[in-house]
Amino acid sequence: MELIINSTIIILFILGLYGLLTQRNIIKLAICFNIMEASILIFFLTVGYKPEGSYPIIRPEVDSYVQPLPQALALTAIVIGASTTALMLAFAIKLYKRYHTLDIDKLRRLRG
Amino acid sequence: MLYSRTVIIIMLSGLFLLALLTFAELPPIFYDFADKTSVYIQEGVVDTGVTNQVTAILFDYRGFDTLGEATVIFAAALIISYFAPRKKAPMLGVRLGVLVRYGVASILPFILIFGMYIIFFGHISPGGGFTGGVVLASIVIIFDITFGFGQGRVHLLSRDTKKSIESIGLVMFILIGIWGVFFEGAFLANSSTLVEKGTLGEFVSGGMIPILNIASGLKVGAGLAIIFNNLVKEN
Repeated sequence: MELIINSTIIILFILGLYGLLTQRNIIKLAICFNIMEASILIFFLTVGYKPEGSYPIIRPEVDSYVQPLPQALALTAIVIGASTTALMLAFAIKLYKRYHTLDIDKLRRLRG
Repeated sequence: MLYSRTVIIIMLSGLFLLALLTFAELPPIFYDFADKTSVYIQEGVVDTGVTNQVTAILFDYRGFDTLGEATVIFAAALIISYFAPRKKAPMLGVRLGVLVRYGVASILPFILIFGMYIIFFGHISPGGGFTGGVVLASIVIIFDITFGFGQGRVHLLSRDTKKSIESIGLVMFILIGIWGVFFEGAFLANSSTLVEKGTLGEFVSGGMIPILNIASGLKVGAGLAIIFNNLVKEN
């Protein structure tokens, strides 16, 4: 069970990294960033998880809860991820208006 | 292309094995952290007075962190409005049909009530300022997609209104932080001075945390609406 969850996290992360290294389209690069981010969020959730735990709202009739700290950090990561994705898409729009292409190989003025 | 695809795949396979070995060294996933970090579960209710411990961490233990997070949204909205496209997207010039327009108009009040509920009850039930703010932002986005383009376009909130709402949220957040300096001795300390203490688990409880929820809800909702409107360029 643990091996399956760990492999899911690592495979998602490496799929995103592979896309970042091989893709040429800026929109696809933004999607790959989001896939990597999803793997990190799954990792956050598994850290605080307990099989018998309930959601962390303290109630008198429940004894065992999952840890609230990874969930709070995941909330932060989701908000910041949404902001950076919006920023990437805004840059993509700006680049397309100027160069009429989204292929990073053809954005010649960006080359060193 | 600097590296071929085969080289990349070989390198990433090595990384996969390395990461798998590293994960094996971590504590087991379902390891009971109770003896180390359960301070939030054990003492969080007494410390903060709210039952939702995720909200307690976000707005009390790590309130300064949340202020930084709100600043990130503010910075993103600022940069995106600087890079706003000059013309509106051409595919949005078509006006939607009568079924869509009346359907959206009848469903919007329920989304508003849902978003307000998530924000106002964020300290005793699942939810909070950030999730509720996103729901409220979706109202502006749906309204502008439906009615904001083509002939006879109207916008739910003008650009200046959204800017003011976002600023009000941020200023409210910071003022509550300064309030904590005066009454509890630390920035963003959860002060119950001059605020009804309330009973645990009821609507009025938790000192300043519900007000912080409202502030961050306004901030996040307006910020996301500004980001959307700048990406499609409303005018």
